[in-house]
Amino acid sequence: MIGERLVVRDVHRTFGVGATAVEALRGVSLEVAPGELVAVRGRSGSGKTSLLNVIGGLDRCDSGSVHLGEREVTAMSDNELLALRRGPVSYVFQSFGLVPILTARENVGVPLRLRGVDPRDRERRVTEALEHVGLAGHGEHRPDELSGGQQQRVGLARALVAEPGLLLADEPTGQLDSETAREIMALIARLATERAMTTLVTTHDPVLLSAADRVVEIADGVVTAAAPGVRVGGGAG
Amino acid sequence: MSGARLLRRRLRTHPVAVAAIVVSVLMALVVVTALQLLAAAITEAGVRSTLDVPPASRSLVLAGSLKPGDLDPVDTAFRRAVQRLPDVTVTRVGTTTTRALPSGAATDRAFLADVAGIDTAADLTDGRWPVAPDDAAAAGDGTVEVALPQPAAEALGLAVGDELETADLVDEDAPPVTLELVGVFRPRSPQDALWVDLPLGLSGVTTTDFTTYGPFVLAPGTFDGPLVGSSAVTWRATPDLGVVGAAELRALGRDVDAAARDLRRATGLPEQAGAAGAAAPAGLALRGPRVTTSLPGLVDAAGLVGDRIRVSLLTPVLLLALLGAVALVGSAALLATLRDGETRLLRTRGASTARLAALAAGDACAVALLGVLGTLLLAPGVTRLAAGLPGPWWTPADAADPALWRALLPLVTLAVLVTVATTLWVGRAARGATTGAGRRRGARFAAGSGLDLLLVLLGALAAVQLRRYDTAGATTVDPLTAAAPALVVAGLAVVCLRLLPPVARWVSRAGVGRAGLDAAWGGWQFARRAASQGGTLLLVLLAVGMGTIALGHSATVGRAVEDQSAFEAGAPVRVVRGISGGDALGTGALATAVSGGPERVSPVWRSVVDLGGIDDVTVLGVDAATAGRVADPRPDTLGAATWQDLTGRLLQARDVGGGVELPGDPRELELTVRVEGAGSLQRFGVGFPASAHVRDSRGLVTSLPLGGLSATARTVSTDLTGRDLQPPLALVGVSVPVPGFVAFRAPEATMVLDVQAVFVDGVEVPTGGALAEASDQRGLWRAAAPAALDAVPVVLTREVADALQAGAGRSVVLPLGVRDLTVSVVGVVDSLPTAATPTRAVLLDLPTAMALPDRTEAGAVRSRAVFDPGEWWSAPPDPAAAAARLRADGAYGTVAVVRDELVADRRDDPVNAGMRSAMLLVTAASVVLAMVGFAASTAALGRARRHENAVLLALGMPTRRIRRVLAAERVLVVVVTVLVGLLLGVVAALVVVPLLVGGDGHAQVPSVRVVLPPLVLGGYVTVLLLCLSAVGALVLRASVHHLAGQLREGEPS
Ligand SMILES: Nc1ncnc2c1ncn2[C@@H]1O[C@H](COP(=O)(O)OP(=O)(O)O)[C@@H](O)[C@H]1O
Ligand SMILES: [Mg+2]
Repeated sequence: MIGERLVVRDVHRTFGVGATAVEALRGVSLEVAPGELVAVRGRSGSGKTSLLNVIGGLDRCDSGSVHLGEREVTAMSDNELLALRRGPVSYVFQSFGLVPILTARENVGVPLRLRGVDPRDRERRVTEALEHVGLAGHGEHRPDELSGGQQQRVGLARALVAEPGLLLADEPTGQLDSETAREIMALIARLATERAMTTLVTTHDPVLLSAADRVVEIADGVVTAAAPGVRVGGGAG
Repeated sequence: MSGARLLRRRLRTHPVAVAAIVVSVLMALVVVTALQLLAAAITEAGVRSTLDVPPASRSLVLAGSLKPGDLDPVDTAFRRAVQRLPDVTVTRVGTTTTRALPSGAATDRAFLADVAGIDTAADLTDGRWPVAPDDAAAAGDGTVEVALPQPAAEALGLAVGDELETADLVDEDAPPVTLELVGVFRPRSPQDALWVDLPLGLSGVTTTDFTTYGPFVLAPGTFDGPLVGSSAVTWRATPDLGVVGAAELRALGRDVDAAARDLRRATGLPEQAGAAGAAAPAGLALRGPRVTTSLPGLVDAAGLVGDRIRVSLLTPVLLLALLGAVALVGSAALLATLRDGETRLLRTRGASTARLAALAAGDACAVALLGVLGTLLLAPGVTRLAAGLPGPWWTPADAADPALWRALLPLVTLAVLVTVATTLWVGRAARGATTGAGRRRGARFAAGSGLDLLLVLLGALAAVQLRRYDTAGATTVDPLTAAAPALVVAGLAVVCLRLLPPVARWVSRAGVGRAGLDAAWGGWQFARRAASQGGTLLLVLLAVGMGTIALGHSATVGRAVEDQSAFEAGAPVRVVRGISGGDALGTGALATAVSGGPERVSPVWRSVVDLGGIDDVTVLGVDAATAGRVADPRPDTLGAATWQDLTGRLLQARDVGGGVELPGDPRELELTVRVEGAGSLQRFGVGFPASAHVRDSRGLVTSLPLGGLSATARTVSTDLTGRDLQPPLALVGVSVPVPGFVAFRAPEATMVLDVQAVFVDGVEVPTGGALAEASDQRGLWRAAAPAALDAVPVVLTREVADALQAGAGRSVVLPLGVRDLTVSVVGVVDSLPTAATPTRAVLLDLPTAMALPDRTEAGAVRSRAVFDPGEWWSAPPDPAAAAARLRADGAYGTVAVVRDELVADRRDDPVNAGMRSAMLLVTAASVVLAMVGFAASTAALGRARRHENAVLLALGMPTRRIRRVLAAERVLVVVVTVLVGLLLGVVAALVVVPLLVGGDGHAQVPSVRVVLPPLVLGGYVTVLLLCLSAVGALVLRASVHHLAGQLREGEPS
């Protein structure tokens, strides 16, 4: 699948009511071109995760809209959102999100099994995905037999195997040492480029931002700045 | 915050987990306590039923001979020795040689007895009991007061007030003694111990070569005077054991030993029964003293019954305690996990481990308190209900029962410890979870330590021990033996836990390859997490195992009760003739009448003899033509053959020989007979009683009294009506016994029996010289031509065959007491019904045995009616009605053993009934505990998997489907575990159930065969599956939610 255009317009999200209410997103607007790799930077609590969850359909916003290609994510039913995550949108988690009892191959195969892909086809694609992330020889290993970096590679392979148009990675290097973190960022960048996949990565680590096409800064639920030479905020037109 | 409020808040926060803990604790406490109370109740019932034996089997006897004047010191010593026994009844019987009755035939005898305590065993029907004469009067006119049993008084035609003279048989010059009948009595029960020492009291008359009447019961102490030279005296002390319970057994045993020891010491016997060594000088003038008692054996047997019941119930108690502990661990772990956050918070605020332990202990104590209250309210009622005891559900006195507290307190302590330990362990594991090492180390330790193998080994050892104990009848029960069944089950369960993961992998492989995720996911979880679900698996395994044992036990007891009753009865109804009395009582005719025809009844002759060096061999002579129909022994006791086949083989050689045919259905047989050469015997008071030997259609020979013969030809007759004679009949012999003293006093006399004519109902029938001379020293005989028969076919039990070294096809001579019998072995079986020792018995065809030629020394050959049937095995159309008629119309002492009645008795036996309810109680409790534990572990599972499930949700799997996959996985776990558990239960039941059956004190003969009813087990398993599935589905519905929230909260990890 080829990367899709992502358009986020004036998204608001408030948690809780009354005195304890927290406004996590206060009118975020953002546009990502197909195949573009955008890094979202911001301090902890600034609303990065909330934004990614709304985009990926794990959460619903209070107002505003999210478009992915021709589809309006914010208008989808629960089932459509599930279908979205089985298809064009893939996640990479900070803590890898691997199932400990499954081998690397089996973990990578889960999205394909969810889609009912034919076993022969599935195995071929799993092998390819593992080769892409450089884990060709580690297919039969369980997560606890792999290093943190290797585990996140498996997480990446699992996200790629479904050939998404949009890859959402919420602090994918948060639990890795800086050396490994750089490797993973480089890998994400390479894969995004190779596959022309629209990619949104959040991080609070400035060191990792160099791999991105563009960096968006977010603070207190609003987009505050963008890296030089990069368009910021404001709608498609 | 006050402790109580903190506690309340802690218990309220997670109501489901707290409820699971409370139910586990309550269920385990109530049922285990109730089981222990039940064990005590059943033990009590078992001890009582064991001690409830005929008086003769629970008495202490001193016997010896005494000279007049020596009675009092011995009597006093005996009474002093036995007075320590509970409610003891003492009887004393003194006998001496019989005396002649001058009024009747030369062979009439009077049997005199000096009896103390006869009023404890007999009721007067007329007159009064005799009283001791003054010394002067006794010496003077020689009239002695006596009482007679009713049949004896009737036979002699005596009434109260009559007198009769008796003569000394040894000393012809001694003056006659005049007896005055002052009372007529009737025995209260043939079971009373006195009649063991005075058997004639039951029948009044016995006929051997002599006809003996009596006992002429004299006043106590009469033989201590000048009437006799010496007498044989038997003292019998019979305690009332109805007042003895399990608690008093030990004291009873001590008292019995002390009484026996005192008597042995006083009479100069060695103190230990059978001990060698010089006897101490006797203090008492009792010659040839013997002290015998079956009481110690009885007390031991009762103690063993108590032990057996405790051992039997130990299995369910231990298993249920284990089940309760596992359920409790699961529930407590769930609660601790749910509180993980709170605990962390407390820790960060600086709470020490001691403080956390104190909090956990506080929770546990609150739950324990609830458990104690619940147990106090419920356990007594449950016990009464299960034991079938009367009484209200609850009385205040129940709460004060020390037995209840004895059972409850250790359990409560255990419950508190288990809860606290689990909470702390979960806390530690949670802290160690970041490395993941803690839990894994624990698991590896449990598996690697070989705990399971050790358990299995112990279980196997204990089972072997139990088998030995079961067969050898050991008198003590060691702890290992007692715990064996529980060890076997627990060991097998742990083995199953080990085997489950590979089985699960194998089972799940089917689903993993396919395209979809659901089957693969369930398979992965099941296969790769089976080991971590040990708690759930153990619960379900134990519950299914327990249920299988309980249901198997119930069915097996039912089957054993039927088998054993059938074995004891032999036939649907077994009629046993009253003590002695001969066929004149008409029992055979009555038995045939109530059976609905001769083809439904087999006359049986029974004798217990020593054969080939083993004693207690029961010889059963049956009518093999009908025995094949009326009896039906369990096929597996008969070796390779069938019962029909065996009785058929017994019939092979049947040949009855010649005889004078008596046409029609004769009512009276008349013979013209005389005894040649009897003249020289006139002085002995001639009147030799002759007998006619008549064979009926079945080949059974009956001897019928003809009355006295004399030297001149006389027509004598006998009544054929009212006898068990099936026409056509044949006369096969006429005999006259010659008393030994006649041959001794007149050896020169040569006598010949001459049968001149035979009449049937007044019409002469030709004899055709069929009756040939066949006399010997013991009697004058005329006999028909014998059957052409060399040996009687017999079936032996293996033990007898081995002792006689006679396999099938061999011929041996059996010395049967009444005559030696040449037999050929046609079959060998394991056991035969109704035999005193089941594995020691001989079965033969009575008509064949009667027809076997009996050779006299002179070479003459005849058939003799030496085998007089005393039993009739019957298969009446309506056994209950037949039994009722037998009891109403049968002669005094007739016993009807009814198979269905035995079955009902045994089924209602308190031990069997109590064990059955105990097992059902355990089954119900184990199902509930399994459900609670399963609910807790499912809830814990929902929580433990929440991260994984959140990932699945993020990957686009609907919550509904996630829940369905989880449910499918649980169902798979339960189904496989239940099936494995069923297998385990079957194996365990085969080992354990035979040991559980048979605490009721009945001999387990034939051996217990385990019955596992497939329909019942299937139903149980289905119900359990449905219950567990429902519980699982409910809990999953509640626990798999807010997965999206889980994702939002931050990182699925
Ligand atoms: N489920 C929730 N309930 C309440 N508040 C939330 C929830 N999720 C996030 N928040 C709040 O929203 C704000 C933004 O959080 P988040 O998007 O997780 O920030 P970031 O990922 O940049 O660290 C924070 O103040 C956080 O406390
Ligand atoms: Mg975040």
